[in-house]
Amino acid sequence: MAELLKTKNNECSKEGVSRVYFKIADVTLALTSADPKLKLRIDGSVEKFVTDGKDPDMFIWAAWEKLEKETSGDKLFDSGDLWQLYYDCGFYHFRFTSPASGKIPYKVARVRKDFKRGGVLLHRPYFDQDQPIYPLEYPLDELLINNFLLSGRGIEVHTSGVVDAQGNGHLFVGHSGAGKSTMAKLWHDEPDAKILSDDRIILRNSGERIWMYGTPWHGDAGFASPERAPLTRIYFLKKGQKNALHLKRKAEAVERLFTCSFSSFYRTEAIDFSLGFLGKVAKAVPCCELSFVPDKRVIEFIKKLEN
Amino acid sequence: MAVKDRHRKAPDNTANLKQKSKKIYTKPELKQVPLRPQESVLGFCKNDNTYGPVISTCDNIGLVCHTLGS
Repeated sequence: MAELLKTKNNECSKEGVSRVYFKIADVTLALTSADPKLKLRIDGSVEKFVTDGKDPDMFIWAAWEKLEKETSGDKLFDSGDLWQLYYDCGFYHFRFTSPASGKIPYKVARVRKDFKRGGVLLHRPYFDQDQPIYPLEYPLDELLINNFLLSGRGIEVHTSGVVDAQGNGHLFVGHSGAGKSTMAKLWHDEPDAKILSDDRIILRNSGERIWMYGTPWHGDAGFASPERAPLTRIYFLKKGQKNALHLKRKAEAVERLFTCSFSSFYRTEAIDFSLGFLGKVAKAVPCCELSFVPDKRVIEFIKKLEN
Repeated sequence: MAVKDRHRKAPDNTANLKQKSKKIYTKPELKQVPLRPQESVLGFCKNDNTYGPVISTCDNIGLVCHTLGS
């Protein structure tokens, strides 16, 4: 049985807006309220990514609705706990339920299969209608951006990302508990180093280079930056007795990147793109396994490599 | 004659070069990749341990997440 509780973020005093734009990894999303009574707000770190409304790539509206138990279309995927995916007549339907909402979803996002346009329907009885809402609450914002990127544009990976004083982009890859946040915190004390994220980085290529972008979906250390940097080296994290580096073969690097990526396992073309793109990434920069001791010495160790 | 020259057999060293540049055959193998499904599909909660709608007044009511990840 799930327990009810009060959250830390009481946003009641904030007035809402009817339209907001944010830009993540050079993808601009326009979020619009389709109902004058539905005021929007932006949650947490997404605030850092708010931008002006120049040439949005994605248009998402939000509205109140009285949702039904059933969601139309063929069920394609079930994430296990938070969301399920349906497909119907050229539209993906992301259905969000919680134990408190029972069988009726608390929201359904209907998006065109190119992920450029869509709407979020919020089940009116479940919400306080006087309060501004963030309709793209996690994980919907991440699912939408990821799926848009996976149509040939880029990929999100489970990594922390750091830019050193020389502008080199270091990517620290690993599952939960591997040391991504630890590494970000260690770099945070370095003069002129910038932390793009301690948990999620988006990779895209532009020109001849692979770029790493910060995202709002941070980890325990809370680092989330809208900036980008050219990718210089990839480190697969492994806690060890001493600091050591082992170069990985390209195929192994792709395999390890793929296991730590957020690909759309329910879209064949997205898997194809992911593998191809990660192949390009592994070809573009050195990929190494980094055994490390979680203290300052590992930063010096990495800096020496660059010198 | 010029025509005859053109049809002359390639010297043996070309064949040797081809031999040298040939990649060593590696037998394809199936490898199991360790995925963490709930992490990979964003099927877990992040950070604040809660998810779901805001119900009633200023007290945001969410649900404690039993599948927390980062």
